[in-house]
Amino acid sequence: MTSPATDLRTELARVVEDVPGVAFLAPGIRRRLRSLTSASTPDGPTPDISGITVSGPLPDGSRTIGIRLVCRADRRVLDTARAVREAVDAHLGGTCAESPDRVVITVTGAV
Amino acid sequence: MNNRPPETRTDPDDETLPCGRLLSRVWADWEDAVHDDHTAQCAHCRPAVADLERLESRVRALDAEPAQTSFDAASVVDRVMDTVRLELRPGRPLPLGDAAEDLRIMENAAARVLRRAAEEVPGVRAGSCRLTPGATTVEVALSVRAPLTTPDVRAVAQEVRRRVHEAADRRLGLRLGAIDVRVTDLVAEAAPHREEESSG
Repeated sequence: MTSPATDLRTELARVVEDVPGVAFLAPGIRRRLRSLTSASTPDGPTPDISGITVSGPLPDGSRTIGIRLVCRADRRVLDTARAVREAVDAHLGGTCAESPDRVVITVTGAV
Repeated sequence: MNNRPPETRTDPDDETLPCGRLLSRVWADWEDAVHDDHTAQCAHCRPAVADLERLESRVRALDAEPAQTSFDAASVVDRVMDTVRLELRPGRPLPLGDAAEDLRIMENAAARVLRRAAEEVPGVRAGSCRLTPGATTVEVALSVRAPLTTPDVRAVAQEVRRRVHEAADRRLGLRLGAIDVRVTDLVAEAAPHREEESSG
């Protein structure tokens, strides 16, 4: 059984990774290092949601959602970041019509 | 026992282990051979150290097996170092787009693109690239080495500035202010690209 925050992170991970120009969510460093060493234990089917953080809610009900991602270098980074915002806003709007959440999108690399 | 005070995370990319220790600190202690009871017993610190040990052993194996060149060893080492460098030293977050958009790019990710743009000028090698966020724009301080044969160093710097500005606009969408290009050396021929000089 997962927590609501984990469920939201998993949903948003799928939303973000479907946006054109997104290479992948910024993984935790240990996961990245594991991916470089073939003898390491595979991560399995669990989606990597370490690039999504949810903090709050504050007394007014708002949350801060942090999204850290790596973009594809063949597309303008700003355009990709804006497309991610649109997709995330649309998703949050679909699940909570008056979402007061703050969404902060950070690009950590381009590949 | 974890008898250290709780560690303060100043870098948003620095992972805090469930035990409260910073991953960067655990790894730094391991590299400096600093041992304590907590790290030796902690269910979170020990796997973190094991990951780094595994990484190091794999990288060392590249040197030990030069005949098995089914892969580019230098490339793997570069990728490893890029990974560590970008994850542990991502630099500062820089604003992308309008402030109200809450969009950011990490300094070193942007600097990498700008350095590459500078190196599109023939013979130029980029060194350090520091990006400083201002009120509405980002200031650039870039050092480069230019070819000794260049007839006009000022023109080279100007071309570097033009390429950097263009890359910031077209590839990143980053709004630049002043671009300070410092030619730190004139070299007889194109020096080998040393990524380790270019961080930060």
